[in-house]
Amino acid sequence: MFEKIVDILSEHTEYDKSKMNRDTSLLMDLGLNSLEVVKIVMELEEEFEIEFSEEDLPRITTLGELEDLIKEMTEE
Amino acid sequence: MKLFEFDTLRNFILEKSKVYSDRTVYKFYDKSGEMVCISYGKFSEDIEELGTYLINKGYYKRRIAIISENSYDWIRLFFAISFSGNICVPIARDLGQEIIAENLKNVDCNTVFYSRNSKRVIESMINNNDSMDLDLHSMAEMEKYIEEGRSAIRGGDSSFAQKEVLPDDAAAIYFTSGTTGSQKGVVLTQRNLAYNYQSCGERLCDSTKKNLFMLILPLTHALSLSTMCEIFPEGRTAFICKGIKHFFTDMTTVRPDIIAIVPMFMETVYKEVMSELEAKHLQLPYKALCVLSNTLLKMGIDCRRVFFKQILERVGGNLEVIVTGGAPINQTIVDAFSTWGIGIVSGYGITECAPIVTVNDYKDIVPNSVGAPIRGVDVIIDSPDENGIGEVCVKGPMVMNGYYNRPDETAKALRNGVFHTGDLGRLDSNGQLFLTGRSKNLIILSNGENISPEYLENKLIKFMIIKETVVYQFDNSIVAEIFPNSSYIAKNNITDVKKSCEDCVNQINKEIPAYARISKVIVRDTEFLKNSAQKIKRSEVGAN
Repeated sequence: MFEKIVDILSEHTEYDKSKMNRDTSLLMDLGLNSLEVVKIVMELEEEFEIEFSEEDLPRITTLGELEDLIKEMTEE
Repeated sequence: MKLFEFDTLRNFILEKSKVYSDRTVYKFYDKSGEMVCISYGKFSEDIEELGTYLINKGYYKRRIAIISENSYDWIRLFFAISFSGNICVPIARDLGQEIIAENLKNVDCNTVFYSRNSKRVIESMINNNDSMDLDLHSMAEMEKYIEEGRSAIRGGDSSFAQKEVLPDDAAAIYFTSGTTGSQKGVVLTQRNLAYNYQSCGERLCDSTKKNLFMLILPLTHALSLSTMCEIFPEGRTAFICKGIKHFFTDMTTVRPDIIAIVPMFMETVYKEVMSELEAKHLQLPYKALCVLSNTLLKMGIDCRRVFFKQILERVGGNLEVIVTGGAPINQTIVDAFSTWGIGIVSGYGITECAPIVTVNDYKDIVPNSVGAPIRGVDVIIDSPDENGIGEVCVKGPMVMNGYYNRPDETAKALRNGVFHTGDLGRLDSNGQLFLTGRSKNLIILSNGENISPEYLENKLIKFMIIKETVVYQFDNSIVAEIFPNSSYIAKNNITDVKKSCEDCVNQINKEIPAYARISKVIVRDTEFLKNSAQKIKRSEVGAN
């Protein structure tokens, strides 16, 4: 699952894919703005067949948190 | 002679609704994904019914907050509140419970209408503030409130129709960032808003002649409601997008011809287009097509929307005008959009001026300018230097009366009826305004949001590892530069100081609105330079 998330993210950022890990910050390391995050969210929703709520997104700051949330949602 | 036809927002909206009663004013997707169209006539009925409900609750001159995402309910509730002799207080739910509680307290507001999606933040606020005694109303029951109002009207209740609402009555209180960190409540009157919307309607709708507007900006920003009302003079239509998550899909299904958006949108689209051209090795053919298109345009042949159809499809295919402001925009990006067939009309506004001050004329856009003052607004440059640059000041009947309960801040900003914006600029001989910077210490990003550095610094300094910190803007990002506490580091055997500082920043980033997040941390090994009063010299920080 983490690899798939990284694949999607790497399409939207110049950050080196091989350096992405659970501690990688969406904002500080990947430099994503809010519109770019929205596009990524839409792709993740399609990939994992889930739907993020607007309340979920502000809580996510790292790739690890994103992976955990997606795991939680796919298990539900 | 009257400056504008209507002196109150109430008369402006309700009278125009009568004129265009059969036309569609607002469109939106309902929960099942069906498109709903609301006529001007139905809209004014909803306002009257909801307004009657509020009056029968005994609300008069009461400050009533709306905490909700964008929706038709939001808009009709706003007008019902301000047309029933009350004052609407729009509050963004993503500010977080701490700031929301502070804002409500600062404007003496305890009546709150909230959406289903805002329930969690309301509950969190109540749990963290025992002393708050709130009069709460769920917007999920909006139809019930409207039905109560409708029944009362059918029973002969004409309290709403007879309610006297005067031009100088407060209509709304919008919050704006202060340099000290806490937000200030800008009190805008019926006249402030009515004049601004009528004036902008002339400048935008009349000149662009566009019919389908799309709302995406949060309604808690004064600009947002302005764009929703500028359609009234000509009876146009606006689509209400529920939120940024629906934006790209709605652009392709609704296909608006005009939108108001912050520069970040154009930057993101531009970056994507250029990246794709590079990835497909199409830069040269693209440049050649631009040259051909521009040459044909000079000859009076406009092929832009054919040549650049694929690019235009990214933004719905029908888009012809983007109204933008809130932050500077790169002229290269403006030129690119113009090449593709989309005119970017930039303007300048500030909440305290209700909010639009200047807007470019679509038919005669001046590059790098934010346009000339709209009718009814005077712009004065205070203390201009040898280049004509000074503080931009605004005078006229659209300027606020003051900040709620902040006479000190009001006196600083409003002197002899002239509002001092804190922005620097110059006027050319044609009255066009060019912005050059800020005299106040506020960060303005391309998402249009204003962030007070002190607000973030005050949060950071609470961490023991941080001895001194300065927050500033660099290249459209918010940077925290930190001088760490060496004795704390030694005592706690901290080996990775930068990581520890970043952990502190990450913690704060989770608590604050997304737009205010710090995206870069710099750790310095020397103290910040200080003046004789031992205050950090901000001008010396981040210069490199």
